[in-house]
This record gives sequence, C-alpha cells and structure tokens, in this order.
Amino acid sequence: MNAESKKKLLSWLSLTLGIALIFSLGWGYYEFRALKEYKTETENQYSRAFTDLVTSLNEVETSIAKAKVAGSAAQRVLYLGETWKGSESAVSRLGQLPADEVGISYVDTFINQVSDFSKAMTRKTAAAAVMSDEEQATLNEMHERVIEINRSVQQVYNQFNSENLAWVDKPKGLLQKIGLGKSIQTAAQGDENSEKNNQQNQQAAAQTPTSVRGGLKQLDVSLQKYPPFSYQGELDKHYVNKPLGLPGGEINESKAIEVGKRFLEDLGQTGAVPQLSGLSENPLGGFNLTYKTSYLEVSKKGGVVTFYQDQRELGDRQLDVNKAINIAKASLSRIGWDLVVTSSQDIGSYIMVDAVPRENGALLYPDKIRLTIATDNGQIIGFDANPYYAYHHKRELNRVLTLEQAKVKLRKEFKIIEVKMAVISKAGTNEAFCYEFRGTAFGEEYMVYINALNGTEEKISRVVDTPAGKLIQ
Amino acid sequence: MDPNSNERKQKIFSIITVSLILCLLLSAASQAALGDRTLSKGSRGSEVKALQSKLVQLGYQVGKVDGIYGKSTVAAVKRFQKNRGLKADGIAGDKTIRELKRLTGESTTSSGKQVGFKNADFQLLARCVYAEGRGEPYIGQVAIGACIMNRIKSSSFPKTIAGVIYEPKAFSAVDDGQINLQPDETAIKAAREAMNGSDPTNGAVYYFNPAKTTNKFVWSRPQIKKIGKHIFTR
Repeated sequence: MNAESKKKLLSWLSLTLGIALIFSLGWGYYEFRALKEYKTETENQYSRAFTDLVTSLNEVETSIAKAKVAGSAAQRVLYLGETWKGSESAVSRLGQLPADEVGISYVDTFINQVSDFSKAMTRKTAAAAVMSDEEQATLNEMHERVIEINRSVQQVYNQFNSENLAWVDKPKGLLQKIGLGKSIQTAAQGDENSEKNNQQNQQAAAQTPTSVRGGLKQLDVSLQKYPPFSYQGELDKHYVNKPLGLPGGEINESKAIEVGKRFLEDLGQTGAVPQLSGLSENPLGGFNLTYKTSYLEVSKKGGVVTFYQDQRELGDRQLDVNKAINIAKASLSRIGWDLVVTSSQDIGSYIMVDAVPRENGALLYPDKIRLTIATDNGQIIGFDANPYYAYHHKRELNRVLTLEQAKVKLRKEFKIIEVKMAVISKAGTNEAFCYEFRGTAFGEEYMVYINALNGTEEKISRVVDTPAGKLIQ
Repeated sequence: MDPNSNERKQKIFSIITVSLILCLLLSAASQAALGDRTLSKGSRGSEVKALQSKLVQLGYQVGKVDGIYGKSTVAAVKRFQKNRGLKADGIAGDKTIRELKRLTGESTTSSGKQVGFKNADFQLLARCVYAEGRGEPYIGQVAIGACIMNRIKSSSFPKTIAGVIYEPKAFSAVDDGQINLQPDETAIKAAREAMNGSDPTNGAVYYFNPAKTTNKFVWSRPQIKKIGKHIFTR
C-alpha cells in the first residue's frame, strides 16, 4: 500500500467516523428529549394523583364534620355518602403514588375503613335506622384521625410544592447494589431490607421527610399506635377465622388419603390412589392431595373435602347445560349432597355452576358450593365447598311477613315471575331471611329481596344475559 | 391497420376484462360478512380478519391480525374448538363461527337491549395471572387470581382490579412490562375461576417464591400453603 492510498483510506475512515459521531450525538439528544418528555408525563400523573389525594382527604374531613352534626336523616345520608365517595377516591389516589417497597400501609387501611364504615352507616341511616352511641363514637374517633391524616398529608404536599420533594427516597448507590448482588425479583416483590427500612422509618418519624413516600411512611408509623376500630362492615371478610360448618373431630394423614380416595371414586375415578402433596395452615385447611391430574384438599378438622379440581383433557362436547347439570347432580346426590343450582356459566367444554343447599325450602346463598362440570361426560371436575363449610349452620327460619304483605313492598311496575324463600348474606357476618322475588320491570330482569321478618328491602340484583348465560349483578 | 395490432388490441381488452372481473370478485369477497362461508387454511379477506380479531378478543393468539388464514390461525381455531367442546379440525365452519360470534357478543337485558360487555376488567386480571404465574400449575394460577380478588376485599389495598394490579411495586410483572403479554387459555380460564370467587388460597393476599425471595416483609406474613413454586400468605 502506498502513502497516497493510505491517506485516502484514512480520510474515508475519519469521514465515516465523523458521520457516525454526528449521528450518534443526534440520536442521543433525541433519546434524551424523549426520556425527559416521558419523565415529565409520569411526574405530572403522580402530581395529579397526589393533589387529588389532598383534595379528597379534605372533602372527607369536611363531610364527616357535617355528618356528625346532621339532625335529619336526609342530611346525614348526604354527608355520610360524601364521606364514602371521598374516601374511596382517596384510596384510589393513594394507590397511584410511587412506592419503593411492599408493605402494609396503615394510611390505606384507615381510609378504607372510613369508606367501609361510612358506607355501612349510609345504608343504615337510609333504612331509617338511628346510629347507635358506639357508632356515633366511632364516627367521632374517625374524624379525629382524619384530621390528623389530612394535616400530615397537606404538610407533605406543601413541602413537595415548596422544596421539590422527591417521590421516593433515593435507592442505595450502584456499588452497594452490586455488593449485595442477590436477586430480589419476587412475585410480590419488595426491598430486601424492608425491616431495616422500617426501623429507620420509625427513627425518622420525628424528622422532616425527605420524600413524599417517606412522609407517608411517617404518617403510617404514627397511625400504628391507635387501636383498631370495631364495627360491622364488608371489608376483610375474605378470610374466615371460625368456620361454622366443619364437622367435629380431627383426622390424620392416612384418614385424609382415605377420604380423598372415596371422593375421587365417587366422582368416577375408580381405583384412585391420591398422595399427600402438602399441608395448609388455616382453619378450613389440612391436607393437600394429588392424583394424576386431580388436586384436592381435605380439612384436618372434620375430615371433609373442601376443594377439588381435575385438569384432565376434555373431549368433544356431548351434553347441553341441562343434561350436564343433571348428571352432575346425580353424582352429587350419590355422595349425599342435595343442592339447587342458582346460576350457571356455559364455557363450552365445561360449565361453571353455583349451587346451594336448602333448609325448609329456603335457599341458603351464603352456604354455596361452586361446581365445574365437563360437557363431554357430565363429570364434576371442580368442587369448591369452602363457603359451605365456612358458613353452614342450623338456622331458625320463621317468617313474620306473609307473602301478600311482602308483595306490597315491591314497586307496582315489578311483574313477579317467581317467588322463593332465601337466606342472603349482608354486611359483616350478618344474614337476612328474605322473600326472593324474581321478576321484570322497565324491560329488565331483577331479583328483589324483601326481609321476611321486618319487610326491609334488603338487596336488588340485576339479571343480565351474557354470552355464557345469565349473570346476576 | 395491420392484423397484428388488432390482435394486440383484443389481447389488451381481454386482459382488462379478466382483471375487472377479478377485481369485482375480490371486492365482493372483502364485502362478505363473517359466517357467509366456511373459512379454512389459505382463506383471505376481511372475514378472516373479523375471525382473527374475535379469536384475539377471547384470548386466542393468531399472530398478526392480517386477514390471512395461516398456520397460527388454524392453531388458534383448533384451540378455540377444543375449549368449546367442538370438533377440533381447525376449519371455521358454520358452528364454530356461530359460537365465536355468540361469545364475543354484548350482554343484553331481558328485553334484548344491548348493555355492553360485562366484566371488561377481566382481561387485565387474566394478563396479570399470565405474567405472574405462567409456568405454574393451573391451580397455582387460580391462586394468583384469587390473591388479587382477595386484595380488593381487604382493607389494606385499593378496591378495583386495576387499582390492585397497577399499585406501584405490587407485582414485579407490572414493573417490568410483562403485564402487557397476551395471556394464554390456561391463564384466562384461571382468571375466570378466580373472578367467579374460587379461592384455593383460603384468603391469601401475598405470595412469593421462597427460592428467590429474601424480603423480610413477605416472609414475616402468616403462611397458609404452598402451591407450585409460590408460598401464599395472609
């Protein structure tokens, strides 16, 4: 290669590199701008949520103050309703603020309880009932705490506006992070030093927060010192502490396997040999068994099958909804269940069904059993009796109102199709014994429940035809 | 005029006629509605497009919604047929299309008035179940869905499906974008079951993978049971 061609090559090379540099600079600037735009957009969303939170909390505080003093039911319902609405919106905003770790938020819990309680009280007052002294006291107590939360959040908000407070405290430096090195990708993930952070939070409680989340954590710590409220609401009922329906006595592993084997064989899996695959720690739980494609749970107390599911391959559909349900009902009655199907969803290769037992002809909705039935042969492939064993008990069902007296409570536009007696669940663990009127009005189908003891209109369900069947809303 | 040019003219004329007819036929085909004819591998047109988007609406992936009845559409139709208890031949005949139309239809009141799609947030639940729990046994996927539903009922969380799922730092699959993956049929089935109220976790609101987690908070929660790789806690 001579000098000239070398020179030529060099100039070409520098030209190419020069162009590449200019291009990458341009690209970098573009990316930088785009990132800034995204960041601003996200920050704006956060600011909006935070400001809305402050507004909602303020609204809640004001409406509780008014609800406390309202003399007429009409005013009280209005302000309790506003409290309910405001606290629901506050919870939703709170859930939109950035967080740095997983953990229980007492602010969340508290505002949710205000929402739950004001909902229950709105209902009560609207039903022309008077709030008890304890309920009035709870409302007053809630007001005190709402004032505290309101002021704390406003303080953080002011700081956020005046000092440009960050959303979350800065994470540890990169080097420290590499030093830790462990993967913290978890399903319900979080910071692996959350306990340490908690301690730090407690220490920091007295200091001024360095981030919005830090400020909320301080508030959290200050809320923890209060005793919990006691009232009858709808929340936290996803877990049953004392099941009412489990038979007496405790069983051991080999008995559990025997129970599981019987159950599988009764549902058509002859010669089944279930094996223990795990234990569960809860009042309804005990032994988890598996056999081929089946999974089932047998309770330790009482030794009954609470949950069963078969994931076998399903064949071509042979049965319509009614035929499949009839076959399933026959196999259920073989193992001692007498149930009434209250709703069904046709998914094609299988049908999902809610079925309830009866007492004196009344449907016991709280004690329902969920079934999944295969449409290739009518076999039960899913059985969930958790609600049944959680709530089933002997009930005294004596009606006071006659059918004619109950009918008077309905609107005149309501055309009755069918009347049944039913027990339905209400807020908390309460139940109501009702007349269930299925009928139509205004071109829609409804179920209206009139209390058979005092004539209160307890519940209205709307019935909608979905592609999979009737949906009760 | 030489005879050659005449011949050429005729040729051009016939080409134009044929292409016109073809155009007409094609446009007629693209005007056709789903259900007018049986669709199978190799079919093209707007009907195929309609078929594909209905399949996607129900969670059956067809790749691109491009109006071409290709391999992935055949596979999706087969899976749909299997799940609906129909003969799984991959051919979208009268029965299959009718079923598909019925399932993607709106809900109605007793007098037949359309009132929209019920449980629209179900799709989000299915996506979260898929992103968080694919690879888990079916029952484990139902359990993840049940956890989300339990959070709605718990006092410590937001009160809607979207509120719970999009809460910052609540689910790793949301933070890393896996939530935007299309769910498969197992996840959809599991989500449906969880939304229906089935709860194999007996009231859990947290879960974690013990092999991957050192997070003290989730370890400190009262454990209920282990399903698949996850421990479910209260």
